[in-house]
Amino acid sequence: MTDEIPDIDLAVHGRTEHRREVLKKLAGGIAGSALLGTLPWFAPLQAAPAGGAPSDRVRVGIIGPGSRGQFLLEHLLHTPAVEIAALCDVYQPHLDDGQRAIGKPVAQYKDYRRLLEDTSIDAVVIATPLYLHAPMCLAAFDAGKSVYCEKSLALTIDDCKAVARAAANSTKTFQIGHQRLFHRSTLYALKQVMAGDLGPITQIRAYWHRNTAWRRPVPSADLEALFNWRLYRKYSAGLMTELASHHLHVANWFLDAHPLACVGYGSINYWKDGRDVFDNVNVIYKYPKGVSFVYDSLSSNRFYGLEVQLLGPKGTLELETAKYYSENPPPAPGIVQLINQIEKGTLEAVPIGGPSWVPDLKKDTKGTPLPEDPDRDDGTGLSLAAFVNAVRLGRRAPYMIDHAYRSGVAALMGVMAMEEQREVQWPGNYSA
Amino acid sequence: MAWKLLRMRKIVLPLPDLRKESFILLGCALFACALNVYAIVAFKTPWTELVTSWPWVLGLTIVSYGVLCACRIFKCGVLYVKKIIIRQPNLGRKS
Repeated sequence: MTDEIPDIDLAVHGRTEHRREVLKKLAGGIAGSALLGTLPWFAPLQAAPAGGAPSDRVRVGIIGPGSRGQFLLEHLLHTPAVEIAALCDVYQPHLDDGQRAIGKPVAQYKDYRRLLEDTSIDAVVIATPLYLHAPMCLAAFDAGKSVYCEKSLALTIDDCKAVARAAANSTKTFQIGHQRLFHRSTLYALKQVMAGDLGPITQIRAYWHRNTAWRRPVPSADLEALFNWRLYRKYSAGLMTELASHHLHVANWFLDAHPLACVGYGSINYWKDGRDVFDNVNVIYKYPKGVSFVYDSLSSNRFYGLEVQLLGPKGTLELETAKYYSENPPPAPGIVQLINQIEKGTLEAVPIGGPSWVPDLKKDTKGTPLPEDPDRDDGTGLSLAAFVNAVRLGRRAPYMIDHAYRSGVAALMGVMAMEEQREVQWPGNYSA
Repeated sequence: MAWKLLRMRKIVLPLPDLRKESFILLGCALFACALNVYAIVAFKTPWTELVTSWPWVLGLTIVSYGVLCACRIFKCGVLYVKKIIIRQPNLGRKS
């Protein structure tokens, strides 16, 4: 398998020269890869890495260099052909942090519209609270900028449609921050699914459990919404848009479909601290061919952590721990079976009376690990490299709008199902 | 002196003893191999396991040699105790 996806080492600490070499290697690997041929968003990486000419440089403005924005900034600083030209944030310490990371003076803005007026900027990276994604994306397209927008796409389904439509009508590049599209072990999982190692996918289960208030300390009360926007419905849809959208994206991608409908229940059963988004969500999505996606998320228990499980009659894939489990694993060597049998006969107690059935407990098998990036890059580095290359080459990132729209809308369908306590149908394509 | 008593002695194994131990170890290895062959036949697993299961065979060889050693040491111990009992001095009782 390793001949198809070259080792991708784009960790945040990587040197720019090193990344250039990696991209060169990757471009060579893609050319001969059958799998990557089915992943068109890798196409921009196929181009030769940028040279040193000014025309090869992509000038990027970062809107929202807060926690996630800072992470993206660190990656961009090590991505070839990128020049961070401007920063925009309403909170001065974030601007200062960004400036420090860049290490040289760049233009700073408090209003993103002023940044968009700068004609020397080619692209913007939007890492702001969810409710700002739509207005910022629309304004950026209007200003003729390419856009890399963090997930989820927007706060309302109408906004999702408007952004997707604007991206489709624009000649500029649009990319959504679903880094799993570029994550090495996820790509191998896709390859296994395509090879039929699971059989048909009959169910996808995912969960994201944490034991945290998800609340950040605020320097002053008037900054509450700015820091803890994820907890308020006016600015975010909570667990569904901030966490579930990742796994919904995987479900849409691997099933190559959008959900047809969904039902669900949610509540605030533990963190009664003034938030108005659910602290636990439980949603079931219906997909074509009778396949379900079952999702739940808790904020009051972290024992099971997070996982997305693809289930089929021949096996199971767990993407977060990057493992494949066959339904019929190959038997142990004969001598091991013999030793086990002797052990069992010698040490195991003989039951006199007990249940007449064997409980279907979880199989305790080790599974086969999927290859991971050497530095455990989650795909963000490669995702940004692909975006920058697409901007440099004047290409649009194929299928990105569909990925963004499907996952963004699916997350909001779940929220509507829980809030309105009804079955929510797929609201149609963005062009409709 | 105590330190002299604690000093390690150099043990030289005479050739006949070395040969005897080698044969015992070889016997254990053959036993482990035979067990592997039996397991392959009994559990219908591939014959390539004759080669691929060598770590298990090696482990079984060592374990069986160790068990055998323990049995021999026990036997020696029993014989030694028996010898002591037989050499008990006559306490003057008439039989």
